[in-house]
Amino acid sequence: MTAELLLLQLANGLSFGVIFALIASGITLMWGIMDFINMAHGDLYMLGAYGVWLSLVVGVASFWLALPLAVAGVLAIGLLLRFTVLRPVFGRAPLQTLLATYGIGLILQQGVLATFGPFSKEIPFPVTGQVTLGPLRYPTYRLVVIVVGLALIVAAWVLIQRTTYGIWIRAVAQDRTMTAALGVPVPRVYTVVFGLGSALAGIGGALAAPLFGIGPTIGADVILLAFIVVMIGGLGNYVGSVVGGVLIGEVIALGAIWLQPTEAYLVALGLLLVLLLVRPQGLLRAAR
Amino acid sequence: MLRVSDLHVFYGPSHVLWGVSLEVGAGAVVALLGRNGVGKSTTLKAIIGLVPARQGRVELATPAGWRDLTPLAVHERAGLGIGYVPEDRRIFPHLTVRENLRVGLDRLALTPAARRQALERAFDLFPALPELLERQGRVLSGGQQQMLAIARVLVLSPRIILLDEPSQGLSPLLVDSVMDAVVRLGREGIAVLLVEQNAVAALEVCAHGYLMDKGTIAGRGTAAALRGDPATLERTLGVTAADVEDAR
Repeated sequence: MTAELLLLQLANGLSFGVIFALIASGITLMWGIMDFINMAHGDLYMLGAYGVWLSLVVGVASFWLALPLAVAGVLAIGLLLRFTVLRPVFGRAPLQTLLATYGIGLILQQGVLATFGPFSKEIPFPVTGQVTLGPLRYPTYRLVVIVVGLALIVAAWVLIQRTTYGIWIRAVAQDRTMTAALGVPVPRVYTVVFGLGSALAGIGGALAAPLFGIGPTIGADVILLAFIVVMIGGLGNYVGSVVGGVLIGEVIALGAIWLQPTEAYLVALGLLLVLLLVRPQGLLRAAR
Repeated sequence: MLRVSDLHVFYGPSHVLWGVSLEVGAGAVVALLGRNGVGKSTTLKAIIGLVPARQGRVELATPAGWRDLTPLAVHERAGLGIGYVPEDRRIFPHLTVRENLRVGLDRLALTPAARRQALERAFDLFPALPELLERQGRVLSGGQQQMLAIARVLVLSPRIILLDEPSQGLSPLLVDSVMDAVVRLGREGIAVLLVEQNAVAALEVCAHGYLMDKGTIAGRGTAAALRGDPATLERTLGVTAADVEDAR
């Protein structure tokens, strides 16, 4: 193994990890703050990827225009779900929300399958070529994914730390009834959390689309891993979910140096299970 | 300012409030006294909406006239000008003091000047607070938490503050300073409904008092009249005449 290969896989791990982090951060916000387990979250990621593809197919000139369109579409679908199907099950027993959102996920998958067919779609890299980073020549688009993804993750973190809604989000996570007793419209805070989580998943799907291909089950493929990432990071811990996401990306990428991709995936899952056994509260505490 | 009539509350199958009625006038400090577990805190929770009332009404005087709060959600009741300071203070542990104050304050679209004024009002009452602004809620002492809990609703310019056991767990010196704060709230025209087990301290600062027993109002009167009726105080509160005299 050469140093270049190691560096290359570390960088690849970071680009996977950023995408995991975009998905997991939304799950951790919804779960930690609203006590809402959204099994359809992976399918919002899938819809982000299809959104970009569809925009390009119908004639949007550039990926960079298609991306915000796709994210806006996912946000709209996410909010539509919140106000229609999810409102009645919200606050019920976890099993009910779990089954309801799982059902929504299946409907979204089957809907996409029926509309666009089973074959995976591909879209060209929006930027081609390679950049030289020290000893490493690295595909420009992967670097873009890392930079854009990290920038958005940081932007969402700043929003949670600094803005009024951010303070409300943290207050609700710490003491929901006291937040309401101070006059804060808690249902509106939930809507913001849901919207933010949906948008982050949509962005993840849109950024990942040129890298991994697009199919109806790509969301279902990542959701389990994303849930484990959330547990590793500490439930409701935004920073933890990002750390966990990057960690899992690195394990898969470094594992791929010696192993087949499926074996690397198994190793990652095994490692996560061990971590869960050893530190059930997550690597970082379940921060509120 | 606040009118509660025939309030009935159940926790599951158990009937805990049996037709509580009380009134708090504008700018009045009114005490709700009673032994542990007679329903004082539950009455406050039912007023702000944290526990549902099975029967009865809660009405608040607003500039637009009396408003029935019964169908409103907790945050809507608070938005009409009810400040709730719970028994255990419920400071957000992982927010700073400044952020604790912002939770309510940020929902009022205040100009920067009005916002500063609202904070000044709270700092005026609790001069120690400005130094604590960047501290996390969880590291505050009991007395500091109590100050913050009151300040957190005071910055919202409430019409009435529901104050649940503010003296609990505080040293006698701090109890005095919290009670002084209650007196000043009343002077500023904010009505206060004060729930206290420390009846002696409460009767020093309020104009009127209600005595609660087993989920009902067992007696009412001016503070002076209640202090002058040691037999009733002893029966409903377990306070002896000597306690009242000692406090003088």
